[in-house]
Amino acid sequence: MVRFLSQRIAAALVVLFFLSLVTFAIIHARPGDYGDFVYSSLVARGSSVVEATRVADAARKEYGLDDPLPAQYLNWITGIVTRGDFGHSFFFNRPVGDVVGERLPRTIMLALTCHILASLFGISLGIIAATRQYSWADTLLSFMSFMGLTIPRFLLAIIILYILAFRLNSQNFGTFFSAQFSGAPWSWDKFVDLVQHVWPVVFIATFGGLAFNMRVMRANLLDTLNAQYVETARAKGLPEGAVILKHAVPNALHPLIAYQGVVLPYMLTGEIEVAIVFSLATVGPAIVQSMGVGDVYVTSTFLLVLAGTLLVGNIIADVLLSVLDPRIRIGGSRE
Amino acid sequence: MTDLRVPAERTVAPAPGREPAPEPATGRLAGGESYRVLVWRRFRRSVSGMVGLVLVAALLIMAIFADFWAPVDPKASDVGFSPPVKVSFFAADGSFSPVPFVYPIIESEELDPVTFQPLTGPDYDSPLDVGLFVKGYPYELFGVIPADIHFFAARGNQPVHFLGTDKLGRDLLSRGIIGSRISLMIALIVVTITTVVGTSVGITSGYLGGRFDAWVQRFVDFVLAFPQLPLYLALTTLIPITAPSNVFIAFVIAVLAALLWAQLSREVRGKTLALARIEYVRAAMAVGAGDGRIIFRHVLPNVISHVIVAVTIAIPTVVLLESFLGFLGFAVKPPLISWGLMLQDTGTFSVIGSYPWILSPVVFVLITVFAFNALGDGLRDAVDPY
Repeated sequence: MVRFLSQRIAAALVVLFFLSLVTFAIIHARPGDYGDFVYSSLVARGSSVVEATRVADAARKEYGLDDPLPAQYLNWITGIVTRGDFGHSFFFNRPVGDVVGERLPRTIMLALTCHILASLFGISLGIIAATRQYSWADTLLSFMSFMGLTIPRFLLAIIILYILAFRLNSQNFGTFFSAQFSGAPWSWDKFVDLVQHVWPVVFIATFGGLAFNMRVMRANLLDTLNAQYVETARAKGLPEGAVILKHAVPNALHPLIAYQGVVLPYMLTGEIEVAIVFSLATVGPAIVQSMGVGDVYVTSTFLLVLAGTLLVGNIIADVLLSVLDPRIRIGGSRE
Repeated sequence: MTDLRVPAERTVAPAPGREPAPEPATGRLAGGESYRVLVWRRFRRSVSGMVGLVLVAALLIMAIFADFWAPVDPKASDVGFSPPVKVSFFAADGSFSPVPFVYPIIESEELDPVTFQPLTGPDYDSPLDVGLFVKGYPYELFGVIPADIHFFAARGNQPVHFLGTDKLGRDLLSRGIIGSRISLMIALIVVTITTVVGTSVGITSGYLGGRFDAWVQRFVDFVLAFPQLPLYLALTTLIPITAPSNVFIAFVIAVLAALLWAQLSREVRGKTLALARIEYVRAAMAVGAGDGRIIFRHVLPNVISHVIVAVTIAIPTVVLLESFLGFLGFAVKPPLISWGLMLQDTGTFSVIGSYPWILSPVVFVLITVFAFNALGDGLRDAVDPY
């Protein structure tokens, strides 16, 4: 197990290294640097051109912006690894690490909530659909899963937003809590308030993932229900419920776990899309705002951190799969 | 799609009474029935697939003859944020008219007491008759044939806004119809590129195998490891804001294509790996057929059905991405028109609250996404008729 884990982590580190190269390239492909930012803000404040040039050059020297690119890359990456220093956000006017540290946990919490809900409901509904194949319930659920995969999430978000804001006159969106709860300690009321604010985001992001899980689970379970060991279990006289839940479902779950590598980015993207529409202070709006003003450090740091999150998620899914399915040999080459 | 359909109909026609093969296994033994006939027969049984096919055909016809369907010049401006007009047979005083007509929306002299915007409302003094094949603004069919006939518009070359107008007073219905061109064009170009690249990389990698395959798959892993949406957003920041709209659109296409090919190549490689072990491919190798011949004659035809399905599913993905990027203001720049660009205004709460009809481009996007997905769904079940 240790060998398997270390292999996966080593592979992930290699991917992360290349990701950081791309991220760095994106940061530097944009014309202009921090020195130009200092220059223009000084000129805008009324200082002379000579003075502004001098300060800008000093800033370039201080941050090492005159160094050759490889040296700058080393500087940037050691800053991240040793000090957690991702650079300075011009737009938020504080270290990028702070912005990320504030918003990323929220995004991950939301995405995880959606993920758990989507898995629970998706798998249960998939079981219901598969055990009642071709009945009205199956047809209805199939239609629902088609809708869930088809309806674009950000459009659904716009429509729900419109209904909430202008038909129901609700004001519970765009923030996590109502004003009176913002500084309060955790309590049941505060939790209810939180749910009232974030349910549209969770609902929309869950819907798509649920549909995806349900479709995969239904197909898998239908395959498994035709297997010989299921027939054997029935022949032994086991009740149908036990046959399905003890013999068929655990075996149908494996491909779903192997799918997590696909589902995770899907859920994360869903959360980001919906949060952008609702302008909920998570990663999504931060990326868009920073893009709009050309604050490349924030954009690309989020890119890097999200990629890291996905890699970790994939490793967890792999480990989970190998724990659940002894047939998968740990340490064997899966590529 | 037409390429699948036309020969199929021709072959099926002489034997209309024949029962469709009930079991997939007997289809192969029936003899003389081509793959296309079987696919078409199976596809026809799928309701959602047929609905999708009809809708996709309608969308393409709409995009090709966009100017003919558009009632009003999409670039001409009129009263801003004017609400949709109602087409009616009954006049305001209750009298009946055999020809449907509308009351055009005009700005009045009075101001709204709250917002101080000029009040808009129907002009009851000058109703306009609505008709089919009406003379309207001039355009060029296929870019060469001058024409001025429009399918459905108000007579007398007067602008009438069936879905209302946007903030600059441009007709939403016409812009939606014309915008389908850019939106679908982006989708088609991106999907063409990703299909060609994805398929060739997938087949080569899967067929050659060995070290080449290992390295290519590493690279594919790497591309897939990126969180897609943030990467699109990060890459689109690189486009200079001052770039002309053609350069801008080319860049968006390049970014979308650069990231979408990987998934397809992974799927195609999987198929190719499975195929390379099948007897007829081994037999071809044994008789000394060249790699090119094996790939094009034996592997590609067996992969292509999967690719066609992947393409139909990929088109709505791109349309959606374009509309989402446009919603954020990063896809298409004026004077080009696309659905994403039209949705850009819907980002402001107050605007959609006061003028909900500017959400109408959503309907275009929804129909497109639904149509291609339904078509792909039907095709997926049909491409494997055996």
